[in-house]
Amino acid sequence: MTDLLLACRDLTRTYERGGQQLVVLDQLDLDIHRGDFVAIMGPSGSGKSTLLNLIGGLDSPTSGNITIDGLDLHQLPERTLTDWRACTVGFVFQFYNLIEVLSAEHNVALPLLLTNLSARERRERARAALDIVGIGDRRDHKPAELSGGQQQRVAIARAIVADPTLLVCDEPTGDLDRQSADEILDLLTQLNRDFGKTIVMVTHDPKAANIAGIQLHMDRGALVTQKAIQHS
Amino acid sequence: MNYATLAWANLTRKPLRTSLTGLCLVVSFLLFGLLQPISELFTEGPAQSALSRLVVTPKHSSSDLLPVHYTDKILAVDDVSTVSHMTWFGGTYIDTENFFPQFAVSRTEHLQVFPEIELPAEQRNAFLNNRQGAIVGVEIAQKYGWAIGDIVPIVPNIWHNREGKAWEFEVVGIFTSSNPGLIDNSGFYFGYNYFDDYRAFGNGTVGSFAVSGAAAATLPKVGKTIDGLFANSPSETKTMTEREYALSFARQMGDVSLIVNVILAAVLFTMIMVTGNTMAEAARERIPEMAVMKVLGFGPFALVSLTLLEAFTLVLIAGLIGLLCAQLILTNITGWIPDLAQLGDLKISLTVALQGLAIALGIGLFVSLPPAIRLLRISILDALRV
Repeated sequence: MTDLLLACRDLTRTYERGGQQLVVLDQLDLDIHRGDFVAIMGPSGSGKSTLLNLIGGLDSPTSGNITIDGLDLHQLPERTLTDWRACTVGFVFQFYNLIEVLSAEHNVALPLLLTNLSARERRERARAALDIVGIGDRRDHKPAELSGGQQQRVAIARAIVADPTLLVCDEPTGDLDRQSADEILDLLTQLNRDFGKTIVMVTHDPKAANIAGIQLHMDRGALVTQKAIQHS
Repeated sequence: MNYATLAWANLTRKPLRTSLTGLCLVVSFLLFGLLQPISELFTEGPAQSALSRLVVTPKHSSSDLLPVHYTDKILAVDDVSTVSHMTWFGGTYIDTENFFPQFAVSRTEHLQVFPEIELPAEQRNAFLNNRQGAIVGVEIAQKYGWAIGDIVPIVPNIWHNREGKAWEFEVVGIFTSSNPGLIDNSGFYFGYNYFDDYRAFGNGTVGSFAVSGAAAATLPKVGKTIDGLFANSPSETKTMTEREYALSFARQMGDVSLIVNVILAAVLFTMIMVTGNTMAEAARERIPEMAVMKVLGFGPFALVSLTLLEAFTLVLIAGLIGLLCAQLILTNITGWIPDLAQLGDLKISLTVALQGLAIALGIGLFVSLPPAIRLLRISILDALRV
């Protein structure tokens, strides 16, 4: 393996709950390479989402560090971290988290407001992203007018519109029926395979985990198994 | 898609709520736009009348009288070209309910000093040559069905004649005022000589003088000179511009400016409360969305700007509509209530417009900062769990 994208070293995250220190991540080490598709599984409370939040720059470790593309993430000032997140990471949430008053196209174009692109370029890129996820014909529809699967496609389009290096997906199929879930998984596979996106996905769905190239199993804040999946 | 689109989409998220809040703001700015010009008139002091007329009244009480021979002395003052006088009659027509303003006037001079009174030439001549003649405003003539040549009996409440009977006047002219705000169309004017010859008491006195001829710039000086002529006499005078005279009546109601300012303060307070509540509620509902925007890379500046933009958009649009409505009303109000024209030119001045803008911006800032700060303080992870 070459081209290391992400490295976690001695990553520890503790929370104070009721006067007690709760160790959610315990000295975790992890390497993710560019182009990897990593599925993180484990029981509730095992630290999956916490790890995902740390990788996405939404949370800070209590100790240890995360390096992405050579940047020690949590040494970055808040403003720099925010800018870094805008251009490096795309987020996909379980419940889509779209802005309900905006159309699909405007939702997708939202992250591009932070760029120097012209209005026309922003529109073109948003439409291109919607075409990639196969929902270009619904661009004027608001989230309430779309099915769960369609909303998740819009969310994925929003995640990729700024062409980030890394996609962070928190149970992207958790709120979908089987057929919609499969379509979303196909889409993620396509983004990984055809567009070279590095994907880190938390999931409880074994079928979702099976499409990933690497499966990580976590328990009590630690990685317990890590296995590479060979796809035919 | 830009920040304005986003702000507008957020504002129209709950159309009913936004409309009601906007309506409340429109009414508040409407009140501001109507009241502030009035307050301005009373606080800034009167401007000179366009017609450069002065009114000379008794110094101490409007019910006092002045000697008619003051006319010549006033006429001798530099820059004065014409002096007329008028005396409040205060009678009723047939029935005590039929009340309208009647004045005994110096006929020739009155028509010179008040060119707003428009009469056909033959009626003007009839008024000047008929001692018992009266000219009446077109409205009052229509109201009572008077025509030229009618004899109108007026029962006196103050000025009884020597015979103790009703006064009788012949309608010799029906006038139309070119400026109903200054001279309304319900006036009734008759000659002073007939009145003075037959009244039972008070002969040789008048209620006030109207002076014309002085340029606007010299009015204060002329007024001082006139008052100086009669200082320390039994009948001292107080000379005002026509507009000051009108305002002095209005001020008898009380400190209008203070009353207006108190109302405006209440309006302002209401605006802040209503808009603040709406903005706070809207921000609270959108915490998860704001968290998502934070996740996407929107920093504090962008989020605060967006919140401010929403508030400013709402308040400025409502303010603009409110002030435009107020201007529309002020433009037409003298047509509905002609007496208001005596107060001066009622309009939304540049000062009032800028005050409105400042209030709108102030309210926008005041009501959007607390929710903006709250949104900034909340952690992304906590907000996403809401």
